[in-house]
Amino acid sequence: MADPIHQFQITKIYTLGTVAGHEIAFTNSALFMGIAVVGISLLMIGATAKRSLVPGRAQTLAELSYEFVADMIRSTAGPEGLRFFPFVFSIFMFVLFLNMLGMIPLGGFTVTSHIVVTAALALLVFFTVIVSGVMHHGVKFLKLFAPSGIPVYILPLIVCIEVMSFISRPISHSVRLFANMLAGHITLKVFAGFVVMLGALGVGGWIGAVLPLAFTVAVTALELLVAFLQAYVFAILTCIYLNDAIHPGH
Amino acid sequence: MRGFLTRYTLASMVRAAFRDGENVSVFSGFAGVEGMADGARKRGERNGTPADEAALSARLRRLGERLDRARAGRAAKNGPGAGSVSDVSGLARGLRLSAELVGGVIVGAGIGLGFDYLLGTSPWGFIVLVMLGFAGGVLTVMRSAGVIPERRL
Repeated sequence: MADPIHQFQITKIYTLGTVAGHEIAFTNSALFMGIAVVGISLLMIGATAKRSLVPGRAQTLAELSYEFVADMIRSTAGPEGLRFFPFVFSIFMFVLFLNMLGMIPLGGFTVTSHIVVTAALALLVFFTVIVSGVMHHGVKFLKLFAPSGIPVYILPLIVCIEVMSFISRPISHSVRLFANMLAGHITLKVFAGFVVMLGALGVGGWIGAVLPLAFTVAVTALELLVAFLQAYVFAILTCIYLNDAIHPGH
Repeated sequence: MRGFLTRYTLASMVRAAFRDGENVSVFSGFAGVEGMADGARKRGERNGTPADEAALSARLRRLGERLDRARAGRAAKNGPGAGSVSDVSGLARGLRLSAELVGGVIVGAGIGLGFDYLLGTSPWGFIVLVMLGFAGGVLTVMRSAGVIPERRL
């Protein structure tokens, strides 16, 4: 039976060189990230090259994704949040493409099932919030941790709890995406493996294999939904965190 | 998709259509809404008289108002919770809750262990900070579930 974890293995494609004893290699993970970037660029640049008044299919797709992200930012961070539009849009499209590329059977690789990738994205958001918040509000950014209208004697406790809740953000932000993609793909692989195992048993096995096969089909549909939804959740949480950088006062 | 044609893109389309017919850039919206509107205004000043410009902007405003009314009517007809976007955001909200509690506890445990390691106060830093982390996690979950008001802006 195929190993359900094997699909997450990172393999070296080409060694670029060594830096301080560490090998720098072009891996399948990097390849899929590259494919995602090229795909997004082709979609956005190609679709907008013609810029017709009545949009064609590709242009409609590009306009829809623009409107989707712009609406998301407006509803969570307000119109001021639109200055972060390029950032949020890049993150949303990147995660969405990576998740969707992982759904391709036979040779698809899910980059977002590695926590190192999702953690890097989450930390990028985390530090963007801190840097932009301090740049625009200075010391007033610290009011994020001290809600107004709290009695002085419990303020230290509240500040501790707020700081904890702030620091836990990049963790929940990255673990959510990574865990959902990892668990979903393992489930898919395990049930697909059942079909193969039962099918090897003969006619009785074929009848028994119908159930896991149906389940595999259903889980595939669910995984497509999750792949989109997790990209959406990642982007909307980015907006919510950026909202704190824009409006730190309580 | 809710609000597919925003007033901004529509305005640019109308302006552009008035300007030179066919070969227009609807999609310059990507460059940023404000910058685009400024550009359109500048072009308008160059090409048309102020009276034309005023008439055009009045028409645009009327069109925008009608669009807003139509959109409000559609939203009222569909009601809250209808349509794919709000379904998605409900699901997304549910999914968000799963990891947030765990995140708080993990951070508390990590900081507590580090604290103990550096200061040799084991196990007190761990105990206190795990509890604080748990409180922080509960706070995040309650905030994202909307049990307590998000932020008083």
